[in-house]
Amino acid sequence: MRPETAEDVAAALHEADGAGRAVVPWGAGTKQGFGNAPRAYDLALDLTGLDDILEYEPADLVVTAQAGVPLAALQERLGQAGQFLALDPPYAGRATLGGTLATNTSGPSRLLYGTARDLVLGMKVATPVGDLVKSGGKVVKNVVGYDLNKMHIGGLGTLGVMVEVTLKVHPLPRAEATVRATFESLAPAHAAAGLIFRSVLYPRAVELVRRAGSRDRRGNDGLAGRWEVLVWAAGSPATVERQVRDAMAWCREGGAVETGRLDGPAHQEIWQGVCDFGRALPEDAALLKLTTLPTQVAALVQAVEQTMGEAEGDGALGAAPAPDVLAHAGAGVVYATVPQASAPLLHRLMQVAGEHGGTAVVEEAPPDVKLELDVWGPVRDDFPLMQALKAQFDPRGTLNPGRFLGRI
Amino acid sequence: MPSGQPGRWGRGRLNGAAILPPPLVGELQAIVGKDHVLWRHDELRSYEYDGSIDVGHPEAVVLVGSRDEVVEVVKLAQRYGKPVVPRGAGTGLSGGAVLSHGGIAVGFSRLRRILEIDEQNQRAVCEPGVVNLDLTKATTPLGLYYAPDPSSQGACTLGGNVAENSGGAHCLAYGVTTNHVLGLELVLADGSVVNVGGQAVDVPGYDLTGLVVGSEGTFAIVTKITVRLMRIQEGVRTLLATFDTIDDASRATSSIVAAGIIPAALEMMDGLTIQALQRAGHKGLPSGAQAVLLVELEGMPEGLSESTAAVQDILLQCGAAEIRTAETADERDRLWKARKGALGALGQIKPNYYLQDGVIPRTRLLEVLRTVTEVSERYGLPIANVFHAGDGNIHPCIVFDQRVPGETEKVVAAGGDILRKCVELGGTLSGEHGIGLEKQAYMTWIFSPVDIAAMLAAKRAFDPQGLLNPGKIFPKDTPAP
Repeated sequence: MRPETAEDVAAALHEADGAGRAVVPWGAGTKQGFGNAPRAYDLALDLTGLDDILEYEPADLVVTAQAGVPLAALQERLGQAGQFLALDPPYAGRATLGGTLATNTSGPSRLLYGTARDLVLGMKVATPVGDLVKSGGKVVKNVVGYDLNKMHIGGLGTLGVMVEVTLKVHPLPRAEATVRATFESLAPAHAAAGLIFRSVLYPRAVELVRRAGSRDRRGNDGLAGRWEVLVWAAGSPATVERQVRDAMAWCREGGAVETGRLDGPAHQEIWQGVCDFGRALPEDAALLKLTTLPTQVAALVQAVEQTMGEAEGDGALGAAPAPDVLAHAGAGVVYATVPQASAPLLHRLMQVAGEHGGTAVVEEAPPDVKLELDVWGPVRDDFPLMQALKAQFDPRGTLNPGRFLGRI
Repeated sequence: MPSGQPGRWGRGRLNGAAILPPPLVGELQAIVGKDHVLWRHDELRSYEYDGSIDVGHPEAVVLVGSRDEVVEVVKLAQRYGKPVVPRGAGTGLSGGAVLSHGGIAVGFSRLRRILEIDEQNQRAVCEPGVVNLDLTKATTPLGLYYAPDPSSQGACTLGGNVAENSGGAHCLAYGVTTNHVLGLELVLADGSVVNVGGQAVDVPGYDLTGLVVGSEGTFAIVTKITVRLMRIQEGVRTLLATFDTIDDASRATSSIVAAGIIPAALEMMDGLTIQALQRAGHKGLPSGAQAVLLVELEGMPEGLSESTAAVQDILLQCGAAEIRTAETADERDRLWKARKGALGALGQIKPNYYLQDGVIPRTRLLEVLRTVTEVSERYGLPIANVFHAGDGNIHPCIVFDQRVPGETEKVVAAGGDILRKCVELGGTLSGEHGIGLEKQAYMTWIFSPVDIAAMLAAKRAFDPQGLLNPGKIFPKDTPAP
């Protein structure tokens, strides 16, 4: 079903809810692999018909768009006015605004700009009883009523279906460049990254990257096992030069074996790769998202690798090498690919993350593997509150039933 | 019937006599200790108000000393069916901590420890009674600070900030409270203790932290707060520009933002405020100016000279009569002292002020300020403007004398007229003060019954019996959740 208006979305939800049919909200479908398999699935609600940019006043730095608008189209429109939406999630070329927000996907720029929760000012949501509910507003500061926006961001459409969103936008940085530094091992790379993201440089992003798997899939690139620190410098030309100069110097002092600067297309390409990390996996691989404190990133990565190494010893992992790893180092978010993933291994990796005070979510995995585990990991003591919200907003379990945390 | 209705001393209470059934007071004393329960009405007087103009009447104030005491107090209140209202420093400006329905005020003045400062991860864990500025003071030696800076930051508490989602002068660049809170420990209305969010980001599940921040104490009682700390910027430039008309200052504000420059702060004060500050003895402010803009730029020195020059150009193009720059920390403090002392200085004009908190899209500043002038003339009430211009968050301060009969009603009506204009211009009722009691009647200007029903559904998920801070946010005739 592909409604053309917000009212039609609400009506469709109402009808499905009345008929006891389970609805899966659908944008561009880039992240339909997210979450557990739905408990029931009767109707795909295609939101790509809601693709208008409704209001945009550049001088206010605020835009209102329908949920089905492609992120790329939105960015293009904002770019014409020298502005952008400071979200650089995976699949940005195809994903819709609504899908990006419902999955709360983000990218490296979160270090400087935050995530969707920091950018959304207001929204309109269609509910299973057929209402269109407004929350927030269209101004940058607003404490009027409860901030219901927050429960829909990352809520995977389980409490309502976003049809319209108002967002804060930013001026495009006037200058940008990348510092790429290569280290022989993780510890010095992690230390150098920390020095940079904790500093007064306020870079746009600081990443830790290791592409171990590249050796097997694309031939030895000579960097296997080595770690890279990527720094995204952004700002005025003068501040970019300062960021590049200091970041490079600190990496060298921290033991980098190679440092370089990227500009123009090479700079853009490398960040495109960071944003889309782990999204074109072999069929038997999984992608794990881990979060922890920024200081714990290296320890968590080592623990994950060790667990995978042990699994290899068990014969569970075959001959696969260490995982590809990408960390938004300053945010404490780690993505690791798991080649030839199995449910027991993923389950163990999720436990390991928990032991390190972090969380783990399986973002992508082969369908048969996903059926054998809960991709969100264990619930916590706040889960009864989440169930209570679900009972209030979708009492019949019409929206994406079983897909979210705790199979809510 | 709520017990906090007018006529508070007129219900046959004897001076100093118990106003609660003794068993409840006794039980409260058993939980927190005798010294930490206030219940005689002379003791309760200072808990009848916050920073707004509303008044309510607690039946008892409990100064809790631990989370477990909060749990026990909540369970007791539950048993007696008494409302529970958390209270920080009482600096709120919308009646959030005023007990309009009676009950027990839970004061956090004893829970003011900074439990942990994690320098490397730039996080702090605090008890709710920690004073906002004290956290920044404690972390400054590490080169870190807590960004949200309400004008009352020397007194207001983090718990109150979380309840109201407080803002401040520097929120233009760095965001409000919700952007800096990572996790909370909550005591729910049933007495259970729940942790939401955490030290790490992107915790799976609904963003309950984001829901609770700004819920004005109606969802849960916050007993522990994990916040993000920021690195103190390397350089700062503060400019003070004087204008002959408030229109020019408004245009300058819009032009700076439209030029892609996001200052750390962009504040405006109008002529009346300047006069009041001068009368209060603040030196160095230009006489006769109709508006001043205070612009603060932060960052690396490499970028600051360029952005400062760009801002200066815009200010001049928009008709600035004079621009001063603060070069030293002293000069900067002096400029900010005037801004931060502005509300207090209004007492030079009349004894009371009523502070509004409307928000408009920043391009509509000119229009809304014209409306403020019209309203001032129509009601014959002086209105001073001292506000966060860069955010479009206006703070018209209606100055008046509460002792003049009928004046308070006039002031409230004038405030309502200004807010109505904000809404007409695509804005809203409050940017950082909250709705509380003050603006609950206006909620229907923004939200339909369906929108409000959704908010009440969220309230039911947290507090189905409506024990926590009842009678707030929603219009008075709204059925209980």
